Amino acid sequence: MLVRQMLAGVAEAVELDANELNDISTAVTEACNNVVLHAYAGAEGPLEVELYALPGTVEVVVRDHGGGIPAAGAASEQAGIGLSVIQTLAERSDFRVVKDIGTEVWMTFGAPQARAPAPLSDDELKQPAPVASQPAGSEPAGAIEITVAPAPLAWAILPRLLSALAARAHFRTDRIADIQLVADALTAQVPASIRGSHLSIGISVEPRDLELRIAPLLAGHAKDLIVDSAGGLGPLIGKLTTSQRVATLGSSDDEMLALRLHDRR
Amino acid sequence: MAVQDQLLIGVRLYKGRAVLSLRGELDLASAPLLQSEIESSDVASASMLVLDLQELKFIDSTGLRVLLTAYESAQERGQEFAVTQGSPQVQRLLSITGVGEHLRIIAPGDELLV
Repeated sequence: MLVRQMLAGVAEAVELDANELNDISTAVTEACNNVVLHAYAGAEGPLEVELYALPGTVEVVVRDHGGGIPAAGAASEQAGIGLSVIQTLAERSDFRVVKDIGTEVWMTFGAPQARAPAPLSDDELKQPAPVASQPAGSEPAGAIEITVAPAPLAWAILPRLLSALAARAHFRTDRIADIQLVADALTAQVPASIRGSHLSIGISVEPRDLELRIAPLLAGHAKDLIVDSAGGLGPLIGKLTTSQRVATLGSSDDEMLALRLHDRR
Repeated sequence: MAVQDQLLIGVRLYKGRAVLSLRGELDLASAPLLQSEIESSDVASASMLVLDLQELKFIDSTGLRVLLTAYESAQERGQEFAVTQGSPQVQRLLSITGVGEHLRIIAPGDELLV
């Protein structure tokens, strides 16, 4: 599962031990299962995961835009086991219905040895997560939105996530290698363009086709990254991705960079 | 041998025993694959069913449900049922849910696996 790939990357970055990673992976998997099984009544819908690494603590929020927890609570013994696993493994957990959005599972895991890859102040943690890279409610069915803080965590997860996604989308091996190059290039170039302490990665997967969205980036930076400038990824991105798109987020000047990757055969 | 993304199931039938060796991850996506292997006529008609979990890296509650269903079906059929210990993650989930208490857990080198 993709989210477990992401967590394995995070575990390396913040130096979680194997048991801590196992417990977090198990609980987060149950929260995601709950979304897949109950939030959208059998249909596909967006899944949002937020991950915050603080010294000694990892916080994860799993959110749907449907009716995850109430439906699950009434629905089945299976969901009941999943929820009780979350409650057992997380130091704290909370299940919330958010009006006009959906349902959320908040989980806090104690990880005494964990270090944050970059300092994150209380103020930064309290600031709202960035605007999702698609307007709320308009994510493609089956889209996954992952928000991490501090932002450098994104570089620990992006290569793993993209490789796993490309394999799931049935890309050929040589195309998976291209995608790895894109991930490496982004990892090298994007950090200077991040605004704030959070970064969102949006992903949509279709057979032999995937879209990657990164936001929020500083005004003007998304375009700079894909044009042929000194710090830009232009030549590489142009060669390896099928299309590139820059969008402005809501009323702010923040930008989103969207890259589409296709495996022609 | 059946493959579903990260789960690989090896099936051995020997002297009335069915040994299913699981490698990889048993989760929401792969649980139906194990379910159908367990329901196959060769496995269902064996006098003993052994699930070898030594190479199973990860299990979630949907996978656990399949293990429990297999155990319950085995009891109904009068079939013996046993599992080997899985990875630390597998052992942890079996332990916190109490499922492990119901299952006969055999050692990795047990002759039943041969």
